[in-house]
Amino acid sequence: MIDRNTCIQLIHAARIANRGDFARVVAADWLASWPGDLRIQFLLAQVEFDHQLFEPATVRLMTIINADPEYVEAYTLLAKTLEGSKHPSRAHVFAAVARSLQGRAPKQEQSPSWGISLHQAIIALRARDYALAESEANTALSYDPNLALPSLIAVQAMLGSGSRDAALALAREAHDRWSECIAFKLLLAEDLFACGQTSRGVEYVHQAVAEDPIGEVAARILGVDHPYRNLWPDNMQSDLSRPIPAEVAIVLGKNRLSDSTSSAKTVLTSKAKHNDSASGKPIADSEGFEPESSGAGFVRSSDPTVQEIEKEDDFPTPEPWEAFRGPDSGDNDADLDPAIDTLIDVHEEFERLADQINARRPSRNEDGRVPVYIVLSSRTHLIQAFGADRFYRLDDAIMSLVEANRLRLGWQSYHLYIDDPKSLSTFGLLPADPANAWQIKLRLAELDQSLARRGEMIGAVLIIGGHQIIPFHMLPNPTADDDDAIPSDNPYATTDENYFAPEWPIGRYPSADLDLLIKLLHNAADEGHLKPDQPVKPLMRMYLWIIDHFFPFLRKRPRSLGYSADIWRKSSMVVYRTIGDPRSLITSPPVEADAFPLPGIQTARLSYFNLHGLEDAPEWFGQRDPLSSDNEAEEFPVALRPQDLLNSGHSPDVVFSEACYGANVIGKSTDDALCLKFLAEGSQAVIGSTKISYGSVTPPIIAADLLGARFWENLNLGLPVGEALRRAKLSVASEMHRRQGFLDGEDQKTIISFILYGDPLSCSFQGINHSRSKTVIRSLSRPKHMKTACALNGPDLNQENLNPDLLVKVKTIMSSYLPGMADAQCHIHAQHCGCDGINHTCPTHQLDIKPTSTEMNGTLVATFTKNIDDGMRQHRRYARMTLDSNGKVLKFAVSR
Amino acid sequence: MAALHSRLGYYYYPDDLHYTQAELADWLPVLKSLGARWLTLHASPDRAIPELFLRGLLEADIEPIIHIPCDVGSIDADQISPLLGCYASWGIHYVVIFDRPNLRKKWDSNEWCRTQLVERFVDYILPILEAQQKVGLKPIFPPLEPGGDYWDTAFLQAALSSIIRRGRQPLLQDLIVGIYAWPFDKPLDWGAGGPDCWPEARPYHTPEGCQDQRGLHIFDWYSSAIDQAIHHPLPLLVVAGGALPENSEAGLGMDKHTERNISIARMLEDESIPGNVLNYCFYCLSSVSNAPDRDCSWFRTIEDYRPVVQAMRNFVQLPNMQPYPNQMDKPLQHYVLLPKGMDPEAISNWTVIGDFIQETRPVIGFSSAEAKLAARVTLIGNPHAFADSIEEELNLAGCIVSHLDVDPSINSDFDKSLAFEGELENLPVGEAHG
Repeated sequence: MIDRNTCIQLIHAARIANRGDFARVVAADWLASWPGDLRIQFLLAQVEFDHQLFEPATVRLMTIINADPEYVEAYTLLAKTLEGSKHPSRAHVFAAVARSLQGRAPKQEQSPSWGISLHQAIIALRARDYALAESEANTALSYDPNLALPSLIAVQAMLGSGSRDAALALAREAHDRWSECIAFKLLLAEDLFACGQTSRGVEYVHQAVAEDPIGEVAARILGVDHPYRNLWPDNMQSDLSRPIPAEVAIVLGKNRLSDSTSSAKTVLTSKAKHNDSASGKPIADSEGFEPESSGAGFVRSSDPTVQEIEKEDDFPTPEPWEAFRGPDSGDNDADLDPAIDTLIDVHEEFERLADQINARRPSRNEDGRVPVYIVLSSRTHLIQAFGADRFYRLDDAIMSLVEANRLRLGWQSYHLYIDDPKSLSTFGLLPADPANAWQIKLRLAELDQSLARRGEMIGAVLIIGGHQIIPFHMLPNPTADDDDAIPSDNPYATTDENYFAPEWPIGRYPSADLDLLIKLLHNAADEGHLKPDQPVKPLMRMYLWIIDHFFPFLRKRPRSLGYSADIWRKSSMVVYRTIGDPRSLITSPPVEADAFPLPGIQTARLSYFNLHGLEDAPEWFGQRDPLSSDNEAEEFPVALRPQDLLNSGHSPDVVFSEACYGANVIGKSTDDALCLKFLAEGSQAVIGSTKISYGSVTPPIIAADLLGARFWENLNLGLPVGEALRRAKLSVASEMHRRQGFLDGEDQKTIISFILYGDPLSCSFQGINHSRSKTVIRSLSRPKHMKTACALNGPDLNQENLNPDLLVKVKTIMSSYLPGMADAQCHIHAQHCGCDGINHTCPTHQLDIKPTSTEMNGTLVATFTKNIDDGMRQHRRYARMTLDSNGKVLKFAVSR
Repeated sequence: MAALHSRLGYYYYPDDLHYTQAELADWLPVLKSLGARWLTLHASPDRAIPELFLRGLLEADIEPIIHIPCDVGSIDADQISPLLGCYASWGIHYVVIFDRPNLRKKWDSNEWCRTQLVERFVDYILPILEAQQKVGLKPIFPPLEPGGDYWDTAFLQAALSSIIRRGRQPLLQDLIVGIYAWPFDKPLDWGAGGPDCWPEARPYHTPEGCQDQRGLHIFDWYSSAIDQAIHHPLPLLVVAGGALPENSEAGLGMDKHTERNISIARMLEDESIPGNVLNYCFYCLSSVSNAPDRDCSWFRTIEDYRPVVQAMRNFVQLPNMQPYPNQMDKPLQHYVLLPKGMDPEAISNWTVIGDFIQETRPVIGFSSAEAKLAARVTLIGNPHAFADSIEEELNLAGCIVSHLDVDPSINSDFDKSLAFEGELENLPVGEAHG
């Protein structure tokens, strides 16, 4: 429980800390108990104004001035919000009223016709010249201004001059028009008492209590010793529904360190995140903070200049495209207040305090809203799949997970049945067709907007059910292989069309087995599964820092397993070394499923698989290295089968598989999909590709290899598994842009085809050897488009059209790395950024990236395809070679 | 005229911890000696007062009033209905739910500060009243704090208007309004006549020279409020009332506590308290030693009690009650009757008498006829100095009689009054003094 002073302090501190979302939560919690608290309403309007929520701020401020027409600051802020929402004429009216109440004459050119009269009336009233005040007020009233203030001034003037009857008559009339006005109620109450209407009179006084629980208006109108004081509460408290964020705690802590109110601290004002439409400069925030009790240390800002405190973080520095800021936000160093040195001193003090309390300092680009964990499914489809009775069991399990996530510090959680009006109405959303992936995606975007209004944002999404419950997005295949559409969940992780840059982690429980689904949900809801952010003690932090920097070999890693096809063991080692000793990587051949070291898989917590997969086979396969000495080994031995994962519940916690179709679950069960089998055996997270995936034969690693390496690196940093995958995808995009300036076909396919099956916030496999636990970060800015290339259309340049030398070179490379592919079928296309989509579909065209003639002039992509018979099965293999106009091999990727 | 002492009642303990058979056995004779016909019992919503205890009272012709003084919103009709059904089946007629809902402390603070307070209270109380009616109990509107944070008359009037507006007229046929009838520090005629006699009265602010409902005649004000709301009277049930002891009066003569309470009892009998007031329960019989209301108790133990107890016993034991002359008609307030033929040894300590007279400023004389003209008579002297019949005659004349033995060793709060023997003589009416 918090009292009113604390509430006000928290709101002020949240504004300073740039946590407007928290300020709104605090104000909303208080107003839920005390809706009539005008001061808190005003503070909330200030926060809304800061966030450019002009409409709700305007509505709120109008409510305030209707209740208390003499609330000066409300008029001032209302003028600003109306300016911000492009209503300058109305803004001038309220600005004029504010000036009048402040004792200043309104600007004639901007004042309404009654403005001068009102000003004169106020001046006269304060000077106790009641006759003049009454006269001027009546003049103002003759213009019928749509404000209660002139009537109130007139009533007060009439009372002062002894015209009680006239005053009461006017008060009655005004009360009929502005029934919310507290002053009129109180005056009429006394009149009702005099008339013997005790019941109505007391009711009016009590209404004044409800609308002004502090009693400020009553004290002003009736005097501080009025006889109705007992009606007003003396102990105002309310619950606080959210924990105080670290940034806010820092500010509160700073303010407790010193009770000095020196001007040096006046620069600590909240950031104004808007621009003056006229000048492009930040609008001066003249609203400072009311001086609180001596413990608070807030000071009234005399300097309206704002300065955002730079905060550091220790996350990887974003690439330029990732940190895209858009148009000039108005932050201009040249406009900074000369007291910047003081700011720097204060900022350093904050840094010191943050270190003391182990607070994570958010980046400048971080969205500070409260993250929400969304559990998404389709009520209709679940009932169709499992029946109504069994659906309720699943619903209970879903709610358990939602409730468990609400315990996560700083998170909120909701469940959403996309076709159930009841679960959507809370957010003002309409049901969507649960079979229409695009509609579902749009609903999620709308949900994000709806959450923004309450200071929240989508922080993570967990989809319950497979393709038949919530469909995968079937994205166009960016590569020239036999895959038609690519099942992907990426579009569910973005608010816009750029599904190459997911905004939040997303996971899915794809099973069609109800019991397995319920088990997975309960496991995720288990207390031990959730790791709330908890600060590590300073001594431990120092110990871990020393270990990380000087004795990394002492760092305890979770047990890991790496299992790769022999042919690309070198690439696999590069990936695997992020989680284990590369020398312990298992290769197939020589290892096969029958001889697979099962105890290894059962004790490993992290597992990496770089094997072959087939669309119509449950097994994963190894591949002999043709360059090795053992040519007698089977070329595609069976490396792992579903039945090899014994029913022991000891599967690895995290599984990352590069196998083609490693995450293909459409039409599959636990018996014929290793990913489902892993989940059934206790794995918390399984990452794989829904279609053909690509990687490199040897380093430098690309595509799925690169994704795997980045994923494990992020996991080592302590990120939850979904966030680790999300950032890995962004990292792949970033890296490929750096290397080649665009995302080609296999890059795109890697990003969209790899999916997480599991709880996106799962991190129970984390050890304690992390210096700091991480959280999900969502950026304020994101790239609208990725630079993507297409090599699917245009004429198929057959080998005879190629430069013979180039052809020889290509075949030589192919023979060197993939001898069996030397006679593969070859298709060659020119690669281009942007695409017109003629005769094909591709993500580049889908995302409306127009072709530019100057880019990639002469770049070619040669795609090699060959079916390889291996006794019972046919393995279809792909290799893609990207060459520049000079024939230099830019990239060589092979299918897994 | 109501049956003799038929409205006399008491408030039992201000807790729900004294409902054993042993306590019933102890208190029943006491209650009978005090002429109790009503007894307010403090109860909990969570458990019933034992049936045996209640039946014991009923068989002794004492009507229990069960008061469950819970806060507003703490219970609802569904929760309390089973309990009400039990009480009704045991022969109880009066169960009062809630207590002083016009006080801020009886509500959650943010609930208090929401608009439509009375409407929201009616939302709570209406189902409970209907539940009471359904099981055969009398629906009783809970007592309000006189004055209070939300002015009580306004609260009552608004609540009754709301019940009318909701179309619950059948409920109003049986409705009884619970009240607290404390005289406070005011004269016992404070507020008599109601708002019709005191039109200048205002909520929260009673002008100088005006009176209001915060006195014994609260029933006049409530009756007026009820009439304004529903245009017909309702019975009033005094859940608790009576003068509370004042420390300054301890020691000499009849204390105000005794005097005022006996006066109230007399007003019950002579219908100065109107007939729609069903009862009057004096507060309180007893309480535990560490209770805040300890000083209000009439009994410290069964054997150890305030003078008001004996005075009340005497009052109720007077036979053949005739209509008493209205005490307000007596020209003298206080008469000190000295024994005729007194010798100096009859009063051993004139100094004490002097202090008492200085304090109370009575008329002093030797004439019992003169004494009959006083509202209050103090007999001073040796217990044997007065005839036995003196006190009886004075009582019959409507006087409140007390004894003062000037031996300081027996002047304590709880000493028993003594009887005197004396000879009654018709003496000419003397000149009034003082």
